[in-house]
Amino acid sequence: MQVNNIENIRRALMLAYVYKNMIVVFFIVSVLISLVAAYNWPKNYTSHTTVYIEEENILGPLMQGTAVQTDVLDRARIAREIIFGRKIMEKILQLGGWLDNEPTLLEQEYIMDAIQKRTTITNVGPNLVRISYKDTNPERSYQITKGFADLFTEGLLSTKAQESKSAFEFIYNQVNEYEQKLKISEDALEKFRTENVDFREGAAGEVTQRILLNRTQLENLEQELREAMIRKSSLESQLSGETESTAGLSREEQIRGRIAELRSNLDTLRLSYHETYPDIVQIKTQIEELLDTLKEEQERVAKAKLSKSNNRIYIDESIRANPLYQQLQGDLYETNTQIATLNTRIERTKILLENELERDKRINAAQAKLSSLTRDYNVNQEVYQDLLRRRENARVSMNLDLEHQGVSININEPAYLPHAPSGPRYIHIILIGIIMGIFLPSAIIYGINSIFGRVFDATDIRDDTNLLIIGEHTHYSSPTEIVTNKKELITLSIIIFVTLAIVLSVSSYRLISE
Amino acid sequence: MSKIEEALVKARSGNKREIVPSHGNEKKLTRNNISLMYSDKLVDESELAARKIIYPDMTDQSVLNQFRSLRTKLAQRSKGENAIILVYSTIPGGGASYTAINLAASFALDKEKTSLLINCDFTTKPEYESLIHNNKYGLVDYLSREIDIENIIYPVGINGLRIIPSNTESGLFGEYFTTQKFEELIIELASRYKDRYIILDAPSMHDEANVKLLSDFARHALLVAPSGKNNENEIIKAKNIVSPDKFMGVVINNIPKKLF
Repeated sequence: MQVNNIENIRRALMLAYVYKNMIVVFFIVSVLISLVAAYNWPKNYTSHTTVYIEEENILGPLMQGTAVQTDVLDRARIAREIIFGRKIMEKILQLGGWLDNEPTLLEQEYIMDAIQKRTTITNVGPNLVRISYKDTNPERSYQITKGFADLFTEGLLSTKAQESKSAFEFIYNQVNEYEQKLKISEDALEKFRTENVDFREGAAGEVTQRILLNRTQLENLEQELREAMIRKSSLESQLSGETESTAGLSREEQIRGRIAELRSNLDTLRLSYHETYPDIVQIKTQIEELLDTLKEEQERVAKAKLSKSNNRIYIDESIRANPLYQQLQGDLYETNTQIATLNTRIERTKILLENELERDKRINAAQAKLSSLTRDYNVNQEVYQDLLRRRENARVSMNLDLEHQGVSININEPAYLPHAPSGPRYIHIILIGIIMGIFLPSAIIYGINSIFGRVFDATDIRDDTNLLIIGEHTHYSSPTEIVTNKKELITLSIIIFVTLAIVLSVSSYRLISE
Repeated sequence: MSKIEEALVKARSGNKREIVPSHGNEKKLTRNNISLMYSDKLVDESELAARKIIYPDMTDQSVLNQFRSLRTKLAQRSKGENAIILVYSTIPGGGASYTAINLAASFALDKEKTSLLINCDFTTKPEYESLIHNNKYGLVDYLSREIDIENIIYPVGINGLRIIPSNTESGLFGEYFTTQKFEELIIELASRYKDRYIILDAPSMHDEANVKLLSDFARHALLVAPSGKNNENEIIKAKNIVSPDKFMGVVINNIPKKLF
């Protein structure tokens, strides 16, 4: 790499020597141009000022949590907007004395544009804005910079006051709006209450309870009815023939029991007495009689069975006359009455239950409407209360800003009168001209030759081309050439010397004249 | 091997062909009487310097040494045989004539060898032609008219160096190098002396066709590329018009002297 660098420098010097005439011409032109430029370069005086702005949108803290705020803007941009506004610029024109020649409106526009171009406004810190203004006249530079700072501060304060006033007005309007809304929801609630008189707090619970009661009652009644029905069917079956035959059968059994009893007595008596004993005879007669009665009874039962198969309840007169039968009959009548009563009660209870269910539905609907109305009312009321409080805050802020108390804006560093001109100086420009005059053409020549890949010696041939360099021949200067070359070098040196002498004399003249 | 060389081999081995006896201003020389060539009136050193031709006592010895080194390389390649060397350049005025005359001069510096420079570039009149006194006939005259071969070979006041000038004023030239007569001339010149190097000063790449034609007669070809005037591709293109077995290499010419 080191070798390469040396090679490159060597190559550059070689090229410079080859193209020396061109370089000298370029050098002279460059130096003369820089001389002219340096001589005519306007002296600019720049004045700076920094303004501290603790800027925050007035609506921000006031509306915190309620409304979303737009981001706080770039301060320098805000400052630029305000300063380059027509209002301030017109005052600046007056301040700088540009209006003395009574320029036309178009000319004023041009002057304003020029002033804006010479003014730079930058953010130097989170709350610091720097205003720089450049002018050929140091006094005017100071005046304008000061004017910018003052007018900007003033403008910002009035903007601020205006802003807080409009913030207050905004909140005031909002309060009014919410007041209206609140009134509307109050009215709606009122109307609802008048329309639904029977509806009161806890009505829903009452209805539910009543429904429950009715349902229990209905179930009880139905149970009773079922029981009565069972009793009725039981009584009816008891009163029917089937019961009767059972009764008959039991009589037959009684008779048989009697007979068996008598026979047992007879057997006991026979152990002690003859057949002719009166007791025995009597018992025998009794048995026979009983047997007859049994026979009769059996016949009667058979008859009853026969009549039952013919679907005709046959009730014996003897049974009808039975008091138990009559009692059963009475019970049956009573049960029938009870059933009728129960049916009527069940119907009634069902109607009641339906009514209650209907009412329950109505109450639910009304409940929903009421909660919606109440909610509206509550929300409106809440916002309204909040806004009322904020309005009072805004009023205070507005009053504060109107008295220019609430904003932290001040001139951090006041403008000063510049003494030394800013920007490049005379000597800088001359030096730039000289350096450019030497290096620029050399660089251009070097660059062009590199771009075209010109071959100067064997080092410029890449290995992969397989070009064999058999000889590298340096220039053979003939005697005349040597002489011409010398003359040329002397001429060029004189030209360079003369140019530098011109630059030096012009520069010293300028120094003396100042 | 060029067709000339084939012809030469034939001529030498068979001796069937009668070599035309010389007469006029060139004396017939052999290895033994080579010193006869040094009888010419020598040219002044200042004149050589003005024409950029090397001479042993010149101020800038580096230039002399560069040509000596080139001569040695070429002599090694040709293995002692007298060779026909074509010198052409990448661009007109690229230094082919300068290299050709100095190469010829450097061969002539060697007491054992002589050289003959033939100017085959009809477009320009090189500096070295001014060395010739009473320059009457040249190559074009020989090829277009009936002139004896001896009448176009001139001594130039440098020991061991002869020149055939082109001698055309018009710059117009036909297809001379395709003629039988040109071929015969080369054979004749080549077969005459064993230690004579024949150097053809060829046109540059702008006359590519003639360079190609001339390269058929040569045994070696040397490309002259002026420093800082060409890029690699142009040099490669110029190299490729000569067959690779004949191409000797590139001479980068006119390199500016290093300042440090």
